[in-house]
Amino acid sequence: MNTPHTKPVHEAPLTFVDPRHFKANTQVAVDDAHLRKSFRSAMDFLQTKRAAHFGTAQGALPPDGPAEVRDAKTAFETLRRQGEAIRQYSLSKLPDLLEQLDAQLTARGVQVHWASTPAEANALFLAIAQQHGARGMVKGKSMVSEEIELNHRMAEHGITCLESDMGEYIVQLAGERPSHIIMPAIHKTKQQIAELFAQHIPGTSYTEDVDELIATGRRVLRHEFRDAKIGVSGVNFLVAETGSLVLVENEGNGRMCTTVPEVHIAITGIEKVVEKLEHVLPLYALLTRSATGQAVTTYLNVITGPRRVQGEAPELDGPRELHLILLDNGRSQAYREADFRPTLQCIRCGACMNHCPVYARIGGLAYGTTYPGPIGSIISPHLMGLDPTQDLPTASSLCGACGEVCPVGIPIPELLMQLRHAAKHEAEPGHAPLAGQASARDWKEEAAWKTWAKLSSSPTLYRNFVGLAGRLSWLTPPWQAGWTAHRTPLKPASQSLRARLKGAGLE
Amino acid sequence: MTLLDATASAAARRAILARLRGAAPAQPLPTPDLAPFFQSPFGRGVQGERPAPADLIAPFEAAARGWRAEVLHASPANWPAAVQQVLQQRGCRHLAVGQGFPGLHALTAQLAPQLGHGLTLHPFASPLEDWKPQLFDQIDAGLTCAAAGVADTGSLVLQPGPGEPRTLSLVPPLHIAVLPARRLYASLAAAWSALQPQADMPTNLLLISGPSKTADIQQVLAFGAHGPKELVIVLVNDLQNDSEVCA
Ligand code: SF4
Repeated sequence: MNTPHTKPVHEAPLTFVDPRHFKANTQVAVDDAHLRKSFRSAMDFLQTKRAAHFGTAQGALPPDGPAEVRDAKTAFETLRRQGEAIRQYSLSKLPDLLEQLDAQLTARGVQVHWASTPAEANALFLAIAQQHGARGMVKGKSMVSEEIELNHRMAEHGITCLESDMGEYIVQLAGERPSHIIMPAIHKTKQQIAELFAQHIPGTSYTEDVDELIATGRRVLRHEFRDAKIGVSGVNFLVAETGSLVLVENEGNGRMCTTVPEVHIAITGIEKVVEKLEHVLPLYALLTRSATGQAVTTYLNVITGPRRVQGEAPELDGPRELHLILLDNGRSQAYREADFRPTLQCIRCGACMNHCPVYARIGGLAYGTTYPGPIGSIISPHLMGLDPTQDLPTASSLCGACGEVCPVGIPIPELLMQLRHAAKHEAEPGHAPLAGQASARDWKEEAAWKTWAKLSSSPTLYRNFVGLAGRLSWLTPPWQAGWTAHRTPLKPASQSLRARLKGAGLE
Repeated sequence: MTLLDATASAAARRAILARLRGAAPAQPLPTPDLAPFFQSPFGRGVQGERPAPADLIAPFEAAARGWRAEVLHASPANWPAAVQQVLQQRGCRHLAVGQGFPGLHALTAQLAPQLGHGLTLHPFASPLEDWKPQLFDQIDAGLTCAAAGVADTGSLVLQPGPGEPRTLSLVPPLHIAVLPARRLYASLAAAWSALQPQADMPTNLLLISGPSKTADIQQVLAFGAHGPKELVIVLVNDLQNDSEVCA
């Protein structure tokens, strides 16, 4: 049995992960000067790195701008069109591709499992772990495993899931959640990390030296890779034609988890599949440049089946058993409506959050969802329903930066507006409602708008109303529900615009 | 004990596919035309004439160094000496190599004087499970031969297999890769299309660019996160030769 190399990990309670607290969370986050500084500098860093390849996100490309800027923009546009076309094509054949993938994987000895819900996915993990008598799993970075709360659900059965991505490991030690999909510990300072390590890892003293901190993480986690029976990973792309799993990473923990343990369990969303191996190339070029401004990551790992033992020369390493869990969890709802389907084009690069003025100010934890930022606001309503997530699509100034940088051309601002509409209105006839459709419907608000519509459609009524409002403007309360929390009260002018124009002889 | 419930998974499969089929467009979109990608700088060397490997050596080296890989130049005759020098400089005592390493013979001959005197050559001859602790805790260098090099990004393409297990380029803190210059391609797309197998994909195909790294602590770049801390590429200029070094 495995010997524990760190103190047991106590999973943090999940209670604070709730998008219903979004508005309250934003207040706390905005008041936290340290947090804002961390995010501001991290976002500036990531924006600059991306801009080195693709130019800045601001505005259209200047026809007379410097040649490098123009080239960068052209490169981006060419790549983006290809990436968008590949993702749209893949989605247009999604059920066929999934069946093809399933057949190709099965033919290569991969055990393919399907799960509609997080509970079903967790049951699969548990069954595989129990089959192997495993008490622990070592995990590479996987946002889908966060989505199903894998660590917590396994902990309930006495199975420890240890995060091995450095950022995820830090966040797990702190009992927190990732605040960014690419850089999970982006909200933590090195002082905080130094304290965490000194406190949780036996034989470690406080140091702010980043190389030393990484060396400590490396030392601890190597033992885990060596001894774990089960390795867990996410997947960046699935290739239907060849039955391949493609993983993109810099650290090597993904390779460790998918190579060293006897059993590898990969989990991913059903939307990740593309048809051909060559389709991965433009998407990979877009992903790494958009995410961290790298032309390539340290590793691109294409896995096609478990260790092959047949034949003259058997392979000597690699997992003996490979499982792939395909999770739906609301994705088929996004798929159902052509309007929402582009949500599934996402390749999880994080560029939209890196360029989002709202995300930069409140950070990733305030959202209370697995995926924060603009992508989180458009995908979470499908994963969790619109009821708990109804505030997320409103957390946008619709400045358009997210749509501008998205490498696969997802019209994020439009999707935000459609979700706002769906949160307030019943589904159109002939369309099935989204989970939680119209949950933000407010009768008072609707009545107010209806009255307003009536007033504005009759000149006499309108004139009388405006005149009355002007005369009674002194009655306006200084406190107006949510409005006055951050703004000066709304007060009708003593004279309407029309009356003033008339007075000036301009009508 | 919970058993893997195949019926639940099959039911989920049916339900998911039914939901998707009910919504999928009747006609899928036309297959995307990747010509613009292959004609862009990202696809350099896929179409038209392949840039001469001799012209790719310098850009490859510059790009690989950019990822913090070390690049050493060697001839088809003296590459074993180059490997030996790398080991000596770092005081390595345990070198692991795949049984299928093409230059194993020449390398063993070169290292002969040190073998048994502070240096041990470990052929990767039995399943990982048999010597996992040793591989993790004792081996300080792994040697592989690259299937291709990508000049634009300074990357190596590795095709691990029975003769060259995948952990060789992953677990030891030092990874030495021998790259014959004639295997240089301009872009990843070019290397990819040259290597793409006709029949089945190998179980593992890797693109490696520099040593393992992370910027997870306050965006400070640190090397040697989980994989090798160092990557040394021995670039063998075999362009005048008739046969490849790592054939
Ligand atoms: S929505 Fe676009 S920008 Fe945002 S993570 Fe997905 S692919 Fe990247």
